[in-house]
Amino acid sequence: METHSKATVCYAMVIDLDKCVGCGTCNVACAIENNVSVPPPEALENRGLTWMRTQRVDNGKAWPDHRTVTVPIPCQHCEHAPCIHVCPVTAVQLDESTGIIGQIPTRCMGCRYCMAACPYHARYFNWFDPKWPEGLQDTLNPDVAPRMRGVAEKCNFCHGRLDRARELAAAEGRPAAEPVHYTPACAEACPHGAITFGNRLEEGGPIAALEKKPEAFRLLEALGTAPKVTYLSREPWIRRIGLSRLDRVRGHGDGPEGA
Amino acid sequence: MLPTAYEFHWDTGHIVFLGIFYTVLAVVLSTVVVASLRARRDMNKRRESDIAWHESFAEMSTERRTCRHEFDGTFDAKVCGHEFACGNCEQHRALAAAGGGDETTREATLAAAPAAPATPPDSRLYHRGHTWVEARTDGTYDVGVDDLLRSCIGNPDRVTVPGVGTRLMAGTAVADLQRGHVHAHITTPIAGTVVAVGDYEGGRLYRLRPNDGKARLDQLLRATEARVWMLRELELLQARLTRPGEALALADGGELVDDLMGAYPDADWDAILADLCLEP
Amino acid sequence: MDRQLIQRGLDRTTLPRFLLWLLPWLLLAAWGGTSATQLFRDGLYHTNMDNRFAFGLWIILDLAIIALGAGAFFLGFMTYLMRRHEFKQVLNTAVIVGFVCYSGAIVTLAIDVGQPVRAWFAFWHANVHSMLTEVTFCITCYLLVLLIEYIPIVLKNRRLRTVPGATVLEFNLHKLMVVFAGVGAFLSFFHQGSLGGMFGVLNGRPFAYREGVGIWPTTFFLFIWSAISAGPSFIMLITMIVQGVTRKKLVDDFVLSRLGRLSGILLSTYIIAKVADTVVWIMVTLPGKGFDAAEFYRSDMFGAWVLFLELTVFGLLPATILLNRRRVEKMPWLIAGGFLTCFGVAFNRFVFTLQTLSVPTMSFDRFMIYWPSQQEWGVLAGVVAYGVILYSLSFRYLNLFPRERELQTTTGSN
Repeated sequence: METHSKATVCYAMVIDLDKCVGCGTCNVACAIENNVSVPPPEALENRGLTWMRTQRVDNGKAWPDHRTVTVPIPCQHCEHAPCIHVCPVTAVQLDESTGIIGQIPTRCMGCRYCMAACPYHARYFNWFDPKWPEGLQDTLNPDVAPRMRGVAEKCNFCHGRLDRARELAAAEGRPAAEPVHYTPACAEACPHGAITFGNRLEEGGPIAALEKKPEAFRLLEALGTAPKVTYLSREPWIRRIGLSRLDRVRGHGDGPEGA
Repeated sequence: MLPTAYEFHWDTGHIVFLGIFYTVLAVVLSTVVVASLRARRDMNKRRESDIAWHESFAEMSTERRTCRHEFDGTFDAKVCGHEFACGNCEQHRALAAAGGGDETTREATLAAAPAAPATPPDSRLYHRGHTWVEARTDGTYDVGVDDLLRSCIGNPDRVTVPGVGTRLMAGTAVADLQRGHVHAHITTPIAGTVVAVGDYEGGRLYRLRPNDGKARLDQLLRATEARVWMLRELELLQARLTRPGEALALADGGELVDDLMGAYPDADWDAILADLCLEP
Repeated sequence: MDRQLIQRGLDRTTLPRFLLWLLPWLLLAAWGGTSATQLFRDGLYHTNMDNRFAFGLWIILDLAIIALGAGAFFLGFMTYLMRRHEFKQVLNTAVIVGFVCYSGAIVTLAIDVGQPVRAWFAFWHANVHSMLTEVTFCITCYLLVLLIEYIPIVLKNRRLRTVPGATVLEFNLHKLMVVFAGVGAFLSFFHQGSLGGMFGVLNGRPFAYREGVGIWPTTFFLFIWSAISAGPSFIMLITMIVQGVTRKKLVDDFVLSRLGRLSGILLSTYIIAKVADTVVWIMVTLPGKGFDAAEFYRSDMFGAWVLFLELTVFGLLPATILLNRRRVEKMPWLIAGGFLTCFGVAFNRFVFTLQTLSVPTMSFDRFMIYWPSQQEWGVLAGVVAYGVILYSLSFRYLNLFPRERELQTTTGSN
């Protein structure tokens, strides 16, 4: 629909699954950065809030061939996002100057159509009033507004950090058109450096190079959503988890079934 | 929704979508406004009674909408298409000019009747709401309820008639016969100003003087037609009062049984009287 | 007082018996009211929906009752624009059933959204590309039209028609009813369609996604089609139920048969279109998205029987029953055909809502199921009870069936 060929910035993320040990630090750092509230302990399993789900996936084989991998799944910021055009109140928007898909919580009316539309289940609903356990309120980030009950929320590539980076650039007198660099909380916190974030359109930048690597893959590419989150792995079976089921059977990607 | 809304764009999507939306809204609302304005115009023109009659006529069963020329034997079966305004009916005007229907057929119908009710006096004209009109030599008219309705209601607890000087519009309910909780709302057969009030003796209700000197009588049944009509009304009434396996005679030797309400207290008199008085 | 409100000549039960009939429905409505209060006060965690099952019982309810309420616009269209006057006998029922369905759906939607106070954002910040926006606009406008169509029926109440202006207004509104019938058909076409479009446009959900015809996916047209094939059947069933409960003949039998046959004709063409659509979906759409239809029907909950049931037992079978001229004259066949048609359209909406969310998209997703909570059932019960109560009141105090009085006297009301 939109082509942002004129844009000079398109933020993207590359997650190296071979470096990920599944520690969940990205998840926690994200929650602290973005004031993700904590549902009560009695909440149903699927009612949690996180912008960075870490999902354990295995190869379906018995020991000794059993292998597992942890896949961190933030919002994929699809170029052809299924969630934008469905929202009745224009609360989901693509920022053409950054490629970031933003969610406007004060406009969202909580119909959850976007959640039904997302194939990555990367959107979460505030089933409860936002609350933090005693003491945790002290860690709230003043740069990010918490969300109220009854609205959807999701990863926005740490838009609060982008705003701060822009403010800093303005304070240093750099022109507004010049792309700014910043690091989202997850990428910053990952102890193994598995998450790389940057401007995909930057000549000779790290993202463009990583995305072209042979071990790069995306989740459900056949759907045509074109995610801006790319995964890396040298393991063929891991690369195949991004495929849809039929493509796995057809043996797309690498080698035959069970490789 | 409005161009003033934050982030509104004048793009094709918005123009087409909102254009259709506002068109639909405009059509719906303007139709409601037109209907309301027409209603106000009708009220100003005092057409309420015409419209009410138009509506009730449409709701009446077909057997009550019978053309008067079925009674005089001209037609075998015909439903009135002019809401009993015979003056507006081409066929009626032609037939009236030719001198009315076939006398022998009418006589045959009457002869076949099981029991002839009280014969309507020839001097009176009859309205389908079971009222009659009798012209007097001084240009006034007496209005009363006919024997069938009277024998149904028996002795009314209360008779309400319009006071002297009231201007009555044709087709409106003007008098009320009440017995217990049941009402018969009597429709005036002709328009005019009330000059005297009757005492319900022989069904007499009030005396009228037509406003423009001449009363419209063309839609009222002549006594010869009324005889057949009354017979049919009696049959309909009989059907409504009969329980299965029970023979019933409302009329006996030309005289209607008095006080049917007293005789059949279980019947739905509210509905029966409404039917007889042409009320919805 | 009560008797003074009942149309003359209509045989209605006594007030105490009527209140006794209302009592269980009032209790159900109270259950619905309690549930709604809890949900408005505490939030949606009282439901069993979750981040994966973003839609649940209520969306199925909304889709089903709006489809079944299609009789209101379709019969209005047939009566006023196609001049099929026999349907006038059931048109008042169709309008009230339609009003109940649409108002019930809007109330349910208001409970379903997380921020009901922001419902007006759907108008103010309308995203004209969203199917849900189309649905919201059309349903709201159409409810207004249904309300206007309801007013003349109410104005004909025995007491109200003695008010001088009432009959005059009723008469003038009725004269322009063709405009409302036309606008109603236009609006309904779009929202029945966009309810289907809602699923067809989900390009990330291969189970629901369908190829586009013009700017709309095929589900847009299939939903209209199935709604208008079920609409007449639903009105037919409701009329039969009212006849059964009140033990009265209210309409001529031939009207019921014609409603059934109308459903049959539409349903048979719908089934052909649905089969064609399914074939294209399996052969073209799904492989293009890297999916295989078989995997959607591999779970315990949704086997291939789902598709089979929808196309045969709820499609082909009622279509063959209702298409047959002789069968639609026999009441048991008519009831069976009508019931299967109505249940079929509700089942179709159920499948599109729930199976879409149940089936996995990513290779490591699990198949999931959902069961509604007590509060969700409460709202459903409340909506059904609201409909029964409103219809019962209308039946008692308004003249819904123009032929009722005549049919009472001719068939011997004793």
